Amino acid sequence: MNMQDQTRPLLEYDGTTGELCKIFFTNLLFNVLTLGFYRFWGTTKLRRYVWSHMRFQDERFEYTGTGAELFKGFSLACMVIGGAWLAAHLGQSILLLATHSKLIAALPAFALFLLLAVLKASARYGAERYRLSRTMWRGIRGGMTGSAIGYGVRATLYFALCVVSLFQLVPWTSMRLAERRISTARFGSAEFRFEGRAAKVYGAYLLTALGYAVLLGVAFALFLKPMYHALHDMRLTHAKHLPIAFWGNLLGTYVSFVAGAWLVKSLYLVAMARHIAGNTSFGGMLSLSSTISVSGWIKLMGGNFLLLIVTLGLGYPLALQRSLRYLSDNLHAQGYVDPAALNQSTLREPTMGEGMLNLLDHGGAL
Amino acid sequence: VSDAAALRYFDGRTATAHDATLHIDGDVLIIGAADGEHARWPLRKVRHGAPDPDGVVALSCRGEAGRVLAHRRALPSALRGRDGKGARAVWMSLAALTFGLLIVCIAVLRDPARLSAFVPHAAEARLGDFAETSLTDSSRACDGVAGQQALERLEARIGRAAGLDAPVRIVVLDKPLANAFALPDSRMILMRGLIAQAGDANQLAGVMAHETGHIANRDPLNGLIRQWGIGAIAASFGVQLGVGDLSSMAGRLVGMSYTRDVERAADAHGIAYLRASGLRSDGLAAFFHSMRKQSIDGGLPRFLSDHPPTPEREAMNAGSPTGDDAMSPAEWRAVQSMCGPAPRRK
Repeated sequence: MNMQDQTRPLLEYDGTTGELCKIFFTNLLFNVLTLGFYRFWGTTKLRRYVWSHMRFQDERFEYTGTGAELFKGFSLACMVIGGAWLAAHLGQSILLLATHSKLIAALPAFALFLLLAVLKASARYGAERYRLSRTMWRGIRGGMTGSAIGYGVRATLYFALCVVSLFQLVPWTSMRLAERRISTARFGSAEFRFEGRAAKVYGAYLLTALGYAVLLGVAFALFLKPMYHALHDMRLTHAKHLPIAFWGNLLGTYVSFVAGAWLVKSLYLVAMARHIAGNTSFGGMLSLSSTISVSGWIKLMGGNFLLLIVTLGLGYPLALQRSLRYLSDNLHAQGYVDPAALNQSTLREPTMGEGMLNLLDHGGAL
Repeated sequence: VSDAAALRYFDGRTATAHDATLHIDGDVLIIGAADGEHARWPLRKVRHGAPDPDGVVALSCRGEAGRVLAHRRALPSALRGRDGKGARAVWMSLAALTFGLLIVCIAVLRDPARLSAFVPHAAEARLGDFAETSLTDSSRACDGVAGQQALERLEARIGRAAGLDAPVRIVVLDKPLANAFALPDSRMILMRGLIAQAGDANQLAGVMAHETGHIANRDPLNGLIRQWGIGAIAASFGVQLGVGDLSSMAGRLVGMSYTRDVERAADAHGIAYLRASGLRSDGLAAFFHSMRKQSIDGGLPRFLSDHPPTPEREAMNAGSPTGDDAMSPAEWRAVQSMCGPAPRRK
């Protein structure tokens, strides 16, 4: 079959903006009317739509998760975090009474902070596991091995390593975490595999660091210097108010930093995404690749950002449609998955949805 | 989608598709194969998804790994139309219910008195007690006995005119702010700064009559209910205002701002109480006047800044100079020295 050697889109997406809008605005209406309680069911509805409009080897996916599962996961996450918060507060009071040391009494708060950091990272892993396990293709479902908490602990330790190494280990830790997320993923009996080489993206990473330095210089010359002068003049003239230009410069600094940093960072993010996609394979049958480009990425993400800002979030379906199209256009596969060779997953399915992610992160709508 | 692809069975063990047929025998769905049967599913356990873009529906059975993918039109009629219309009705009624609750909340926000009428007296008393305790925990209550008695005698007169059925409990706090406010359960807090600011006992009586107006109207309770209502609505949209936190209630009451209409009513009622009790009623206007003169340098004191503009209130509540003085000179001195020796004033 010539499908085997030809590079073709991994996923074909045939959803439309109009239908996404219909789902989004009905969800919005129900969310408002139920004071937000509906969102778990709304998210499920949206996912069902997107999954069923994604095809792999001409066969559609099916999303089998339910709103009740998401709600259960969310409730459990609320209880865990609420309990931890309560325990930390109680612990603080008890320690303060027992030791009269503010330093020792601050320990539970520190532990809580650490716990939240670990939970946040593991939430991402758990969410991926849930979504994979609820993805059905030709009667076969996905899954993930490994422990979410283990991933969270690792991610937190890696972050500490990054800080200690003055962020020079960022590419290395990102690779290791991506390996963990991808190489533990399964679909049916087949495994995803990814082995990354941080050295391949380190150049792009250094370039972004350089970009930040340039950005800082430009911002200083354009905005910070006049701001400093304005403050200085104010002291000399005893003026009561700062000139309007000062606030303009402050806004300029902020916007140029946020937008500039994001533009600079895109270079590294795209290099990373290409590296990850280019070195991922599935079950020895399929190898992936990506044609994501810096300009395409900036157009997509910058456009989505502006779209959401201008429409106050109501442009979400359009942004989602653009992202899904971009994904489908830029993620490719070579090889063929033989349905007869793909057996059912033996992994246990999680019984609850990705509550933690929903609570700690906005989790995205998908 | 070709007809051949219209009905396929996946056994859930491999991804291979098997040709299949569907027919119903009593309460069992039989999934037939070319050479026998793939599976038998009890109908009541059969789950039915929404059609995908090609019109293909997934059938599954609780407790079974297999799955049938069939075009909607290829389904036996007994299985058609099982795609969750019931859930929609549940959501519709839930939405209607919450919408109704929202309407009630808004009605309460517009006129909290509607709800405060249902608050039992014991609950209001506990609220008031809690608020007062947290205030006296953080600052000293002045305990000059003669002054306290003078204040209570004056307030008894005003309260009688206001038709209050219980005496108002007055607490003077040793704080330099020129502030006075009412708490739930007929309690009034005066601050040392206010007594120092008042030029004479009649001005103080004007302020006390104004606060008595709030008490008679249960404004502190109404205000709390209104804030809790706002907090509840905000919380339901995911905004945490920290209103449910009882410990910050006292702070809320101190900084409570009523609407202008509520303030105007309290002003007018205060004047009316003073008149009805045979007291001079021009004290409030005089107090406003002295505050206004002060505010030329340094802004308005906190408790006036949320209220209607001071000149307007001064003009609207001129009151009358006829009537008894609020206190004897000796009583007024006792009130002024309640928090210890009166600070020297220029």
